[in-house]
Amino acid sequence: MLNNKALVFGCGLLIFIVACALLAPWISPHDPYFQDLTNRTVPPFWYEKGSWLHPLGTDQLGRDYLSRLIYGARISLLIGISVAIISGLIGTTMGMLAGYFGGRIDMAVSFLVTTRLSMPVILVALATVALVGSSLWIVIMVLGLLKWDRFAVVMRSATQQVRSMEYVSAAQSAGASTLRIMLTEVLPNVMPHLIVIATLEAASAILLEAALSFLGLGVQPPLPSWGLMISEAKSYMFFSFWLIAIPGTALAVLIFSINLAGDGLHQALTPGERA
Amino acid sequence: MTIDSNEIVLDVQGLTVDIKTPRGVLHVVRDISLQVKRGETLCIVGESGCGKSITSLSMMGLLPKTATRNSRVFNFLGEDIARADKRRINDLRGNRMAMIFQEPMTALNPAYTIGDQLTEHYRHHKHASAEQARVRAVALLEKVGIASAAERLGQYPHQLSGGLRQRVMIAMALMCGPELLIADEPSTALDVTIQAQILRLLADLQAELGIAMVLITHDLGVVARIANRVAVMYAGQIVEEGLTKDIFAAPQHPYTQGLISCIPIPGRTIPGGKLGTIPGVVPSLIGEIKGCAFKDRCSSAQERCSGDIPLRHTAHGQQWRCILEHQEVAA
Amino acid sequence: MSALIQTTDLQRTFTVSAGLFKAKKILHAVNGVDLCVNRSDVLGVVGESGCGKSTLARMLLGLTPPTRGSVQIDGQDISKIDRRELARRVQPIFQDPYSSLNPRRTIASIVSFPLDVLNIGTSVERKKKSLEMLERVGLPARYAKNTPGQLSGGQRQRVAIARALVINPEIVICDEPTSALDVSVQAQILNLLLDLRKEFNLTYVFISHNLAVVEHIATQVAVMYLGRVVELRQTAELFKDPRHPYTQALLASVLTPEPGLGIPDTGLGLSFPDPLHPPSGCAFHPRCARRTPECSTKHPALRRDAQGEVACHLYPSTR
Repeated sequence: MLNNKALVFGCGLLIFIVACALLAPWISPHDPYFQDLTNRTVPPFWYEKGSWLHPLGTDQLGRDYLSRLIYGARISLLIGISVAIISGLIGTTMGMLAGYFGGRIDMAVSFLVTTRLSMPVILVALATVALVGSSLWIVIMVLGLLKWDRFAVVMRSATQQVRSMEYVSAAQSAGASTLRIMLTEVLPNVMPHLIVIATLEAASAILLEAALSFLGLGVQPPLPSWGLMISEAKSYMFFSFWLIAIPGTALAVLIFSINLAGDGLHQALTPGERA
Repeated sequence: MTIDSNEIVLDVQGLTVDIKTPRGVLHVVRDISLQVKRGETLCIVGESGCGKSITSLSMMGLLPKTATRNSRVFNFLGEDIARADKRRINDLRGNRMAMIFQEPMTALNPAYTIGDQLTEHYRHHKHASAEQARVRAVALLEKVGIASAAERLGQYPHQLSGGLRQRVMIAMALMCGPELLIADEPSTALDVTIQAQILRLLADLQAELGIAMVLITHDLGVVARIANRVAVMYAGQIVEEGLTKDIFAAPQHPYTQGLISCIPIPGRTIPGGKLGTIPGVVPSLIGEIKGCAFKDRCSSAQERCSGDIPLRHTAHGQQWRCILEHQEVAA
Repeated sequence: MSALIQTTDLQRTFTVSAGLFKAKKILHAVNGVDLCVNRSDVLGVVGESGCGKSTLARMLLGLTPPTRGSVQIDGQDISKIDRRELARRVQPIFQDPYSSLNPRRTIASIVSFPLDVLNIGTSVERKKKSLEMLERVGLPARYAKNTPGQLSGGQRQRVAIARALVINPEIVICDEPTSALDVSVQAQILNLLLDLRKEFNLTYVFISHNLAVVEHIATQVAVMYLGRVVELRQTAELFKDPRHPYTQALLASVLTPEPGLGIPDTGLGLSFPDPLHPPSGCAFHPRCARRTPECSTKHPALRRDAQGEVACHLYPSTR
């Protein structure tokens, strides 16, 4: 498994980012919310006017950028993980039921998936936020309730494959209940697919939140969401380029590491154990 | 064209095939030698992992990229094809040497009609016109026993049953008039009654056209009924070889004896009785095997079996690799 | 003495879609099967693809409900028996050793699964019973912690046998248990199955396309063709004197390892059985060398006599 470069590199990077996010209170040099209007838009240390006091400079309200970046990682990761869990639970349940039972349940789930696919996620998110207001938790709920379709589709076909295996018939013959079979025989064998889709959906959720926050309809200031940071830095784009570049790069690196890890996981988990 | 029934069509000596795997080099075929004459059927028989399929693929030059093939002699009708270039191999393949595979479902391309697939190689190798190829295709389909041959040309593989598809494969193999036919488990995937029909067809065609045939199988029943000569493979080697009647009447190698004793025969083995068994498992083919590969499973194994194993033979041409000398086996 | 297993006019149909705009077709997988299996018998069921033997196996296990007719065990209709009670009495051994074991479980947990489901004994007792069963089928205790991926086909099939027998069922439904195995491994498994039958007084329904194997292990044989039983007889007599032309063709197709006998002409012609378009009258008539005009119009009635059962116009029913 250690030969799997994608897995090693992707996971390594991801673990690094998660560690930074978890250790935020201890490793951020300053309070991300503290405004120092005398020190606005100080450039990062590699510029002439920069210093190590604020290694990545400050933003337009004098808040330390490095601290905001680190705390911003928390928001992005929180969103990615929560949305993956919520949509994962919804989509996996639907997919497994459809794949296992077939027939009418399958038809119903397929109908729901088709309906959901016909909805443009961003527009629905915008409309919901416009109606209900915007906050971190509303973003998580909206995205979680919208992004289950890929889980449903993939879990459905994975479950169908496992369903046709003779060990499922053997478990039925042993008198096992359907619930038991789904949990002990089917679920462990569709887990690899689940994990891969979860990583992809987490990455996608993070990007969606960044987009929503950029539009002002996601997380509200003063929270240091990377999307919000990019939005706030719009007007300073040509003067203080780093204000946009740093959160943008961070976002790209996070997504890259998640996708890489997901790709590595996919490679590691297929082909199976068959010699 | 006069057919010299003693002419050797395929002559292979000292064939080895190694395959690189992440766990090491797999010695799949370890120094085997065989010959097939015109009009003769040689069966290569063995269980899974013995290397028989790789042997057949190496004869046609269809080995995977990770495989390396070496041989002392590798002649097709006297021509050395081990050193032949790609063009020459392509000339011969499908033209004078043909192969039939096990799974007619996957060996035929589902996107093309039967007619397209039958005529494709014939037109390429013989530079024939579409009409000439069509006429020959219809003739061959009728020869393999397919009715309404002309209509079948426009059909797709999925519209045919397994047995019919296999007949189409045989017709395809015969289109260019090959002198060597290699059949890898041609009837294994078919129902029992169809299996008998296909094998009978192959035997009849071979007798009529004087083709040399190499038939790979794991089924000793097939071997007994269709083969002139048998080569028994185990762990990449041919452990016993000879005329079919000799091998079955008096098998000399303990593996061959074990194999024959495992098979229930209606009317011969006692129903409900114990069948013969071969204890143990096939040794790993990664790394060198000292001496006889069968020694860990052989009831007659001795210390000598870890050293050089002599190749013994009888006057009839039966050969076996064993320290044991010729035994008269009770009928 | 009433039979241990009995099926009465057992039928199972499936609807198959024939394409986007065509009407759905009806597939009669099992089309009226009456069987009686006594305790300690081994009923061999032979037939080729499309004959319905696998569907029959699933119905005997209670996995697929019949569309008509019933399966009875000791006189009780199995659709009325509680799922777990049925599990205690009937267990399967399937064909494909690579798909009959959950690749994510250990061998020990696979074998003890039926005990866990049926809540038999304490956790310690279950572990002990599983290991005992594994030993009995020839797999020493050191295999208990392995996963199926580390075992060969023959070893996996032994695990499947251990799993089937760990709760001491009365009946084992074997659906082509040796078809995917090498000849030498097949012999070991057959020997094992015969030993276990004697030791645990089991009743087998042994489904296979391999007639030589069936002749070796079965006490009576049912020959199936396109969903129906065309002949039923004691094994030795069936092989000595087959009555139905399909049985004769099947037996003629068996290529025993006896040189010099060549390959017989089964006389079956080129048509092949299509379960979606069964022929009129007797389903076998297009391939039968001895057909009469009656065969294409009328379905042959089952004749039951001292020698067994046969459904063929050549042997008219005496009823």
